[in-house]
Amino acid sequence: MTGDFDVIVIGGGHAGAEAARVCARGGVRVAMVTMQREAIGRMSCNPAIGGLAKGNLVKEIDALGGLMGEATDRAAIQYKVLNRSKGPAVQGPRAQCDRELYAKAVQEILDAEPNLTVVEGSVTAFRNVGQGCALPRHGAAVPYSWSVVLGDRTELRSPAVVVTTGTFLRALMHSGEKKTVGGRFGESSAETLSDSLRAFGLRLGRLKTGTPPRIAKNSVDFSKLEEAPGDKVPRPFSILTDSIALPQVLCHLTYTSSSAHELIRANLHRAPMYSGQIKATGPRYCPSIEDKVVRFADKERHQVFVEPEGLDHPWLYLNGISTSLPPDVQDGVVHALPGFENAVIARYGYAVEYDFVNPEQLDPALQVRGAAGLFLAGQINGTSGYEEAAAQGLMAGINALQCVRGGEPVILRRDQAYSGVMIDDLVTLGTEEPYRMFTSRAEHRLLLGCDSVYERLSPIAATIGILDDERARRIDARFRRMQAAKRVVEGTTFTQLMRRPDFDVISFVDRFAEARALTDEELEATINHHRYAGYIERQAREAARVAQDEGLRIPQEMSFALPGLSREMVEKLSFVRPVSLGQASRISGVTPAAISILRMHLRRAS
Amino acid sequence: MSASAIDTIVAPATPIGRSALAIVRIDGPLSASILKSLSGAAPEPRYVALVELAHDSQHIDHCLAVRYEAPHSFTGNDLVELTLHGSSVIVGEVIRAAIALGARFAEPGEFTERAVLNGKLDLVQAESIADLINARTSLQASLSLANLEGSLSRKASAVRESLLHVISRLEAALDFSEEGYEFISSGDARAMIERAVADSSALLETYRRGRASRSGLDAVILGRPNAGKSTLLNRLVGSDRAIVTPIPGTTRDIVRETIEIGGLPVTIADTAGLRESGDVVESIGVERARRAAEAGDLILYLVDASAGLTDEDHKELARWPEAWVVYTKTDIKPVAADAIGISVVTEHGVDELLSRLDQFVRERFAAPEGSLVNERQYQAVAECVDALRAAIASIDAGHDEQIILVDLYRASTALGLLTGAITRDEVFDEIFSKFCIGK
Repeated sequence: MTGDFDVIVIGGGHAGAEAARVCARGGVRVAMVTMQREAIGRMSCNPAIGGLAKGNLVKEIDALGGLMGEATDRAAIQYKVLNRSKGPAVQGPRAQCDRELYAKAVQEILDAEPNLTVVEGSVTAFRNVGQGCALPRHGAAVPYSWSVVLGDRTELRSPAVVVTTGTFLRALMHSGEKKTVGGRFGESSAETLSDSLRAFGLRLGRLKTGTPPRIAKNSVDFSKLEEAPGDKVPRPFSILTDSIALPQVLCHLTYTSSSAHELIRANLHRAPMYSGQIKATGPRYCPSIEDKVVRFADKERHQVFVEPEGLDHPWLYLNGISTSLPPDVQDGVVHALPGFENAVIARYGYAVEYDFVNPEQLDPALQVRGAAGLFLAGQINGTSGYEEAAAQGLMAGINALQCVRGGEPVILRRDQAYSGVMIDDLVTLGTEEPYRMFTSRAEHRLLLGCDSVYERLSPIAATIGILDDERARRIDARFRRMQAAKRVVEGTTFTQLMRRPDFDVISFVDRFAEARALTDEELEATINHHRYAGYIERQAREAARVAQDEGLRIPQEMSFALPGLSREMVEKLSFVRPVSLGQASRISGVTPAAISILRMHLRRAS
Repeated sequence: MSASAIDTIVAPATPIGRSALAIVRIDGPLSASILKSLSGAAPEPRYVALVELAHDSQHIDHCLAVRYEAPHSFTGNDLVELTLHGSSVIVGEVIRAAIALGARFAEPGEFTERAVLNGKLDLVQAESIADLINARTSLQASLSLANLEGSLSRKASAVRESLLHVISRLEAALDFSEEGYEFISSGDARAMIERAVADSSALLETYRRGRASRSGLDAVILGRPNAGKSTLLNRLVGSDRAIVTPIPGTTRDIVRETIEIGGLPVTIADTAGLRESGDVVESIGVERARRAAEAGDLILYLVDASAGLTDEDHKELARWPEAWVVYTKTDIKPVAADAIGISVVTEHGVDELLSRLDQFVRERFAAPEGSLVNERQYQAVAECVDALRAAIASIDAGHDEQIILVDLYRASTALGLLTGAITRDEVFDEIFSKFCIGK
């Protein structure tokens, strides 16, 4: 088969699904190339979506017309808003999902897009074929410059490619001394794609991540576990969701014991991370159990969050003891957990090592610098997590769409979205470990609450024509309800009272019909608007001040070898090639003095 | 710094004027070749060489030359230092010759700027260098040297450490609230911030002293007409700076002179005698005298010993409770042993007055090591204190971590002018090294 498309998405994970869906929504012909059709939307790690900072990403995706929130609401079996007692900017909605239903929901959503073609196959290479024939529907502006070759010699062509290969680039799984080539249990690896990337002069690094053992549910004594219930009233992720259909279930907690710690210590030489078998960097925020035991030797027990893999799924996921120790040690560690004395491990934990592209080589549209139409998103950029991948996939997809339609790139600012913070961090600072979103990465965090996400981002999606009518209608209605409620309290003592932590919500609802018209979430948002008004205004002012430097653009062809800049500064600036003075100022190690010189130069040149 | 990216600059490194020696610095890629052209010598780097300087067959001077090679120099560039005989004519000739050979005259502070850009100095150190260059007295010089060693940076770093401690734990409470830790209690956070307030307030306290040592002190001589104010000024300055006559009201405006007392430059203001006068000019002078006294650091209130303390003196002294009462003309009428008395005619008590002044200046204004010495630093620390207090208020009002953190980051940014702001990487390093994170 040979085929011509507008956009080719390589990969069907969380990044690939968003990228393909948004391009299809934008009205261009999309091919999604994936190794296995039924693996689309698969949750390779724990069966949950959202959480602290990650939940905000999912809400942002929903506000921009992406699919993750929708799919989650169709598969969710427990909802919980983390940091509920704190301000909206740091509240993190999370949902436990049935992993089979989640993948099914993603596949159904993609199947509903007539512009999207799923191509099963393994990409062996892709290359720039230069000026090809023009796209008939878009005039001569955008040539078919990319060729994607599959294992069966099929060749696909398009003007834009989004690469979302996750952990599959030269992937190697470790379980004790045993090594298996592959990016996910039972799946293969993309062995040659790294070479295609290197052919563009891209620098690649290597990272590591891990999974815990999965346990047969029927072998566990739940009476010995602590219950971890979700919120009584589930709060869905997507504005399209009216109610949650699936029954809601419990999670559980248990703890490791000192006997397990001793066993781990005695077998450290068999752990690939300690024997030197793995050299890549793993995430500090998600250490393996062997790492925890070594680094925090005085801690007597470590918490283990027991997550159901689904409503009827026979397995449990042991969040907190990811490991690559050999199976016999894993058995010992699991059997030492209260409630797991007779547990059967259905799948042993393993670590996976994979290639990633140092993301400083991308521009803020997630496009490879110097390779127009080539976009990278997800774990290939050194991130970790479904939500981080999906948010990048969506933005890379939007920019691929803009690229083939001849539109301006869409770049979210740091004061506009956590996604903007993440992408700016990646392309400006790069990453040394798998990058995860944290609220503390956002300096204007108060502006980025889940409660303001539709106001901040949906207008952007509407402008570029990727917001469906139903979303647009619901967002508009939400706007109107909240505006009405804001108007009626204006000038009353309520605006003062709302600033107090002990504000009585009932008094507000009793008094105003406009308040009764709000959903619980909208009601909270209205009160928070007043409670944090002073701080939000202050951050907005700071953000505006910073934005001046964002507006000072650095010409693409400008040389950084400027008088007064040290060689070190010139090297740093040349590697990242910031697009604005603001971005330049965030590059690690670039001094304020160098920024002053750059500013002087840009002012003089403009 | 890449050799081709910068040009070569030249400037005197010592003040222009009469002195035994004068140093000229040449910085940049051409410095060695300029030295070679002028002296015919290419001395080993970092060795002192005795050379003859000549340009266009004209002999200039017999001097010492030291050549430094990048990056091992003050600026981090190739650098030449010439120690010439202290003559503005010689200095001028050397600079003109260097310019003829491709250098240009340096902008003020340009050597320091290059050192900063090459990472040889941080900003606090660079400011200290500017102060060192401007130092007019020995005390100022030693204070500037102390800052250069980084004792100011060290003090500010202590505040920064407290901040990093609290910020990282509050952030952990937001980003890792599911880990089952109490990262920091509200009481501990408050106490730690209080400590940072105390430390940075102490830093702020040093500013007044620091400012004194930077710009010197103002002493104002007050007193009734003909109390001997101008005479004292002339005696302290050592020249007939002010016109002295027996006619009361001779000094109509303020006469200022700077001398060194206690290791600091002290500007002494001689003022119009204080009396009610129908003369418009004289009454303006009196008004100015009082204003000068209000702004001054030290008031010497002179009383004619032969006339004694008058009612007017008592009235005036009530306005200046901190003033020193100095009896003059003790050659005419001696004063009690516990009073300060001087006679410029006989020199009686003059040395004693000077040594009292010296002690006063040293005790009250001599800055300890690690003082804030400029306005920019002062404003930064003041902002830091303000932000820390706001954070404490947020804790007391029961706000959650994200609100407290807004002000803590403001404090960190302000302090960053001295120490570099706290980065997100540092926050994560602190969290991940102190707490076992990750389910």
